[in-house]
Amino acid sequence: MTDTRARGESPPGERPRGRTDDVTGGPSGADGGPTGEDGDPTTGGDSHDDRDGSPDSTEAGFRVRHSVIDRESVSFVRATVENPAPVDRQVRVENRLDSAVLPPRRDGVPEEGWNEDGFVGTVPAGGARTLGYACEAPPTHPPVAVSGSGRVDDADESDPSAADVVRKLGRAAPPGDAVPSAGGDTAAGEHASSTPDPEPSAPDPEPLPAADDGRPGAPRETTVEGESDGAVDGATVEEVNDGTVDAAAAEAWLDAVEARVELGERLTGASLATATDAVADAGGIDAVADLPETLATDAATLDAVAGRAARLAERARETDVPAEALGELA
Amino acid sequence: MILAVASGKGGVGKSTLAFELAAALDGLVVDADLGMANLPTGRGPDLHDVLAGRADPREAVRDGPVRILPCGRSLAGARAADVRRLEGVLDAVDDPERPVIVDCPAGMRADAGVPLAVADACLLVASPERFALADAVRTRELARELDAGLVAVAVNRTVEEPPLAAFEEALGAPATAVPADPRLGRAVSTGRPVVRTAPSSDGGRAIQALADEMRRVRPTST
Repeated sequence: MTDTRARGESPPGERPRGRTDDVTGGPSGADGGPTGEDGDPTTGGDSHDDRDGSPDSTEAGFRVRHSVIDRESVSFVRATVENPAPVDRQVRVENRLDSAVLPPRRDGVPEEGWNEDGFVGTVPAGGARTLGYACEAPPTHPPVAVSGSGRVDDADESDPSAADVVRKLGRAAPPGDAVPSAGGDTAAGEHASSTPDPEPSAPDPEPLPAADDGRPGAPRETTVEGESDGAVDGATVEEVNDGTVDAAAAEAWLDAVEARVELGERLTGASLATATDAVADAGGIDAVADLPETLATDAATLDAVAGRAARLAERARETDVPAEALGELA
Repeated sequence: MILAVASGKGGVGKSTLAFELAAALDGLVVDADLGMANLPTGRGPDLHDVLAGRADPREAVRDGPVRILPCGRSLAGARAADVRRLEGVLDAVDDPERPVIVDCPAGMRADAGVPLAVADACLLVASPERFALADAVRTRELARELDAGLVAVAVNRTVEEPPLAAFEEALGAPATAVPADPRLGRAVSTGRPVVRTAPSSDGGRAIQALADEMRRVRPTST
């Protein structure tokens, strides 16, 4: 009973001590419960009357103890089933909470014997099994109903199913970090690791947003640390720590703008021959089609930057940091 | 009927033999190597799409000299593919007249195990080297565990008389030597199975012998 309080202080989703890590999933989502099933017959013995535990009861010839921990709309149910008979017996532990069982899983597949109603399995002669699962429903009492279906005959070994195989052998899918991110990016280093696990519907064929809105994105390979959105507006530059790297990004942006402006200048009032050359250099008529619009956006952005730069310069000049005095105080 | 072509190590010629056997048995070859596909694909949905629930198995089958259900090449596709769906997929393309030959991945993970669990029987491909035998034995154990009866062993790319008796004794199934033949190596990429283009060559005859072994298999389940 005291144990209940102790467990109440542990973080949600913590597994019972002594469990191995191979049961995946947590209390949130459908990936299953945090608790496992333990076939070790000794487990039942040393866990006497812990938790809020119900006193031992006898159901269908099994000695049963159970407890429920209520944790933020998820109930963690534990049940220990002891088989005092001298033969192995089959037990059915049925969930009575008002929602489907989230069973322990391995490689995304429920452990053997579990389904959304509960657990069916064998309890060895004179031994015990401790079972645990999660359920997205408020606790009820008792949380489980135990029934038996007699002794186990050895002949019930069925053909292994695909789920059995995945459970036993483990899935061989490449890790999420190895999969190119949804932007169709090159999965280079830092980018891939920040990709949330995709249940991916193939890499998104859509290319990264290009420098089509006049924002600096064209010289992509030089932008800061492969920032995918290529946005090097004031906010981003300030957020990204190191001044020298940012200077390179700003430089790259200015270079790109300069290239566009130069192209615009060559085309301004140009003769046919000059214009033809310039268009050819720019990579065809398509490359120039949006140029007027892009240059207008460039001009507006540059004005904004210039204004802000001037204001910042002004404020910088007006500061007077008493560094020496501060140093003496420190 | 579903026949798995498996091996312990990779690179021993499973895909080639699966392709040739599908040609000899007038069957369908399924490239189940989800991570390292070998058989030619082309446009259209592939096994990754099917296992991700995005395509019907039958629409992913390509007609050609040999009918192929190809597999995609992308890591994202391999990650999205749920190998547990393979059972339903293979059942869907199974045909009483035309056996399904599954080109399995190497190794011991679920992507190699599931085809074996689903298959009625399997053929094991091994290199003619002594060290290959240990890997073949491990895969044989896996197949036994998963109820895929071993029908035949193909000792592939032999250049001299291989120790067939040793393979047969260790694996408990008839072993057939498939000689190293450049035409066999090219068969998948050219789409010209040797068993049809050169049926009387040593390679063609070996494939035919393996196909005869496979024809004896009767489905385990109805």
